Amino acid sequence: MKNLFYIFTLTLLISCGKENIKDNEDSEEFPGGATTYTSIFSGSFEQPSTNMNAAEIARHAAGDAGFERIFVTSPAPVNQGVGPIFNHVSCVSCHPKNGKSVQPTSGLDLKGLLFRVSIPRADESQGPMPVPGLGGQFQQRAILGTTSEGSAQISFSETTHTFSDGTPYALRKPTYTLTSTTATIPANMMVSPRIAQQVIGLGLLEAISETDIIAQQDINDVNGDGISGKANRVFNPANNLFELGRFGWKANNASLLEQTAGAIHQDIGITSYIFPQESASGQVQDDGLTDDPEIDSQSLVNLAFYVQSLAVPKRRFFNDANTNNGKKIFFNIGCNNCHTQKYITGNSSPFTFLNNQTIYPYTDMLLHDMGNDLADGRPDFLANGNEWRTPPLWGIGLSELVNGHTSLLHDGRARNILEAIMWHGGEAESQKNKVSKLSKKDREDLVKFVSSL
Amino acid sequence: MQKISIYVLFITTLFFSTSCKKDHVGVYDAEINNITDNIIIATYTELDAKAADLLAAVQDLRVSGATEPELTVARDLWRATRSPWEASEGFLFGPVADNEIDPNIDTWPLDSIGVDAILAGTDVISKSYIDSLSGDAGTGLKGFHAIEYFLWGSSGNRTAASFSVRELEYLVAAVESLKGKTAELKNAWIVSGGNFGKELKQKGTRYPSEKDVLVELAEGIRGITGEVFDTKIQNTLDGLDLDGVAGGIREEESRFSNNTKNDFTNNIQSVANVYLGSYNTSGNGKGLSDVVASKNPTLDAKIKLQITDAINAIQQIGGSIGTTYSTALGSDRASIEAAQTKVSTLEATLRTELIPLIQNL
Repeated sequence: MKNLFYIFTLTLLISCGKENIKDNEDSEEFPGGATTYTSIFSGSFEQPSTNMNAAEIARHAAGDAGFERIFVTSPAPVNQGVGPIFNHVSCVSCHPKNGKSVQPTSGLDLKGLLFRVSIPRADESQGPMPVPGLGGQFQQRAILGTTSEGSAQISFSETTHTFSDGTPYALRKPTYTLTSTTATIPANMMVSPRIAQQVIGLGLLEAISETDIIAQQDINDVNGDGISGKANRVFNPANNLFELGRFGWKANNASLLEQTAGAIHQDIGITSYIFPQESASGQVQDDGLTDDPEIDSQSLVNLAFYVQSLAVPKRRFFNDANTNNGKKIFFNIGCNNCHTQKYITGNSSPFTFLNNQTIYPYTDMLLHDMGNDLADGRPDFLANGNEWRTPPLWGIGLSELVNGHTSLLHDGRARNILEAIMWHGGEAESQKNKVSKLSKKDREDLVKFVSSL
Repeated sequence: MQKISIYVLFITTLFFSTSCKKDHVGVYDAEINNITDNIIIATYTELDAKAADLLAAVQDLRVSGATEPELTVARDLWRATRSPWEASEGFLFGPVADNEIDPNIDTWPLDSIGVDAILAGTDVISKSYIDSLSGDAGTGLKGFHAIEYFLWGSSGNRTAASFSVRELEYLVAAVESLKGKTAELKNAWIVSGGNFGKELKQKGTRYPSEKDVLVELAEGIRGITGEVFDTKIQNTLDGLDLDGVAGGIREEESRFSNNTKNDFTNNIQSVANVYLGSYNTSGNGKGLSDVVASKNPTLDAKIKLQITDAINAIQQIGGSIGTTYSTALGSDRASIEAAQTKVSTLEATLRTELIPLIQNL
């Protein structure tokens, strides 16, 4: 009788304690290395790296102010220069709380969704060919008195599927129709819908050595695992060189400085030293003003620095038994073949707090064929119409907390993590099929693990 | 002796069973419930009520010609509506962000070129017209600062007689739009509406444990404290004046109404409200202070003192409560920097002492 009590007590003691699973390195609880911010809350994506010096923190704050700036019609005492055509008025408009935009349900308000457009050219490695009258991006808004490039309609078709255990699930595929009153839309125009991504940990991804990314390439699938993996090489207008593409849904941007300059240029209509001509240049919407560049170079560099120095939040549910089971499944299935778990960043970043950090982003930074159902059919440098860059998974489970939604994938079509997994095709077809065959418990544990990242 | 051992084991077992469920029992239910109902929801309720008063006042302005007394009433009610809004910035999470309420009512700066273009046009300016401007985002064509622009003018001295019919049409529609959003915000939180308060009171996917709720609340007050010193005040210190030389007035958010000191005061007041568990006459005093006092009474006293110091220093910008922020920017920057230091000191305490204490509960 007494022994029973001992056992009962002992059981409770054990189940109370943290389980130490050997394959979980303690450092993985801090996926951004020494940059990691340790509070998990709605502002988890808005925190500066925790290992910066005072000057870097001040510069981060200056960039933060820029990221939140609402731009207005010129001339104005502050923040002038929005448009003449634009998608939105500030960085945070599309990256609310530095997080992801929700999938829009109607073309009347696209929220953080935009459309890259181009027409085919012989050598796609030179980059997308702009559409006459529309350029490389469709801007559905304009300042008052100017006509925007047009409008978008969105319709959805839902298909139903079942997991091997009989549980049903549904996938919702959006279709987009663009119309313009100021340009003739060519029949061969290619359209790539892209939703605003979360902006955490990007400096760390920029600090991964090129060698470590290139080493993962297997363009001709020599190892026969069904997965190729290809690095993009893209033109970087910040230095006029072709470089490794790291950022954007198709790894179509080489650096965060260029990415930032491109975003404020195309999305907001703000010219800079990197993009000194209005996005409407040569179109009927051109404002004809000689006020360019509309942002000074220091403000632009500070803005890029803000993005480069945002911390990654600490993980939730770390070492939870279900999380650990999900992690085993993740690796057994081979999700990590593309969602590369770990890197040690290089030592050549000018921002020393980003160097030599052990990080867990779960991305190989490479392009993969994700199947016809996800394809945009629009090449972007070396990325073909079926390829997307493996997005990092860190912070993925905090979307509901940060943004109140769980939309995922390049246009936000997946309504949660499980749907996003089941959208995988092409090179990830076999991994998806393995997920489909999991028991309910294992499927839930896999989602629990991914949402713990 | 054996009986005693078994008894001890019972107690031990009971103790561990209880401590296992620490996150679900709700040690801090009283604080979380009070902050949710009597601070957050009470602030949003006040905001919506004051917005209704402001709407009535601008409708009075529009009916049968604006008079100076009517304009004064409307201006006072703009300030009265602005106060709970600024006092809500210590908890900018949930519907205010998720539903894009903030950009729809507090976008800054004003897009005055855009406003003038609308006034010069022929569109009927209604609530739905204002609501639809640039989708859900607003481009500085609506919200508090558009309303402020109409009530004070860009020099702060407009007269009731100077309102055109079309300006009054715009003003009323802008306030109707604001009122719609304040109602939406309040309704998103209350039990009979979207009941977002439940997310804080009952554990769910957003906040799996009460510690997660307390971290959200503590980070919320730390966040606004940081924004006041490192962005709101710093931008004015770094900025230019209207002639393009150093001075900073361009970067002053509530410049037309000279309400900037009130804005900052109310921002830090929202810190006080969440920390002390009371809001005006609402609340039973159970706030984060309770949580801290039981673990570290010295820290609790320090935070209370630093909140008071920060509010006093903001009030004393320019040397007296009556001196405007704009005036101080030109003549007494030291007083602004002194206030900035006090706010920065509070932020450092919240960041380096309060947050770790909450994280380690």
